[in-house]
Amino acid sequence: MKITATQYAQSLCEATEGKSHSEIDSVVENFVKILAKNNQIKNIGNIIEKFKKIWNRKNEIVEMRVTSKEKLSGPLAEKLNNFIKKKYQVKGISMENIVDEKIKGGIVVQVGDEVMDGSLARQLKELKSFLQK
Amino acid sequence: MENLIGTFHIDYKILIAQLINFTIVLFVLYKFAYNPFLKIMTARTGKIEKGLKDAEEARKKLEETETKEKEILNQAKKEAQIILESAEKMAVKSKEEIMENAKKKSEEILSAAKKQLEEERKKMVGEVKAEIAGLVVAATGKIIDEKMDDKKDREIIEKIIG
Repeated sequence: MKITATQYAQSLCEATEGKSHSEIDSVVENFVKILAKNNQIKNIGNIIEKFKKIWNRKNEIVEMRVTSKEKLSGPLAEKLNNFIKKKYQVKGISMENIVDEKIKGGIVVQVGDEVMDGSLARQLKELKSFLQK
Repeated sequence: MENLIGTFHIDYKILIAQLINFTIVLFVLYKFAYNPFLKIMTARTGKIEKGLKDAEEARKKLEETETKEKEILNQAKKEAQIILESAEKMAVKSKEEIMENAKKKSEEILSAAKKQLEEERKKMVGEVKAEIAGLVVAATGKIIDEKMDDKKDREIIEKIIG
């Protein structure tokens, strides 16, 4: 019977639950060996994606992609994390910060399918649209 | 009487003979001249009467013909008048139609021209607006790029999430 990527991810999630870092390393090593044996290394990217989703769901974590002009760090990043936690009622945030000067300032936050565009580039676009009316 | 006969030398015998002669002549004339003459006269009278009758008929026919001719002429005149009136009406109608069509066409052309003018005006205004908007946004963007620093950026972000 063929094992799906979701099933691999689910197994890895269960195997690592409540384990220490050293134990997790060992579990992951064995997991990779199993994948190699089953000729599933080519699907490792897909399995990792599934694992992330299962892990985040289980631990009430949301993935957030933030685009800003400068890299976010320190109290500002913390404040943003708290804002998202409160908004989505979750315990943790998995943040990916993309630096893009084209947004000119402000931030663009993407959580799941929802996008909050607070960039100056968007405001300039709106201004242009308003002037053209 | 005797005297009278004597005066005029009337001879009874001669008188009777003359009477007989006259009767014979009268009979002969009646038999051979009067009857043929009468026949000829009757025939002539018939011919004349027929001629007169024919002439009368011809006159009547001529009159009838003239009357008919007049009637036909009148009818023709009436018809001609009707045709003329109809032609006049048609001419007036077609003139009105032509005028109406011309008016309609000119209105259409005018309307199309106005529409085109309005579209061109809108297009031009749109282009000008787009150009101005582009310039304003480009200038604003440039000012933002020049004036924006980390502090201001943080302030903007804090305002968003605050």
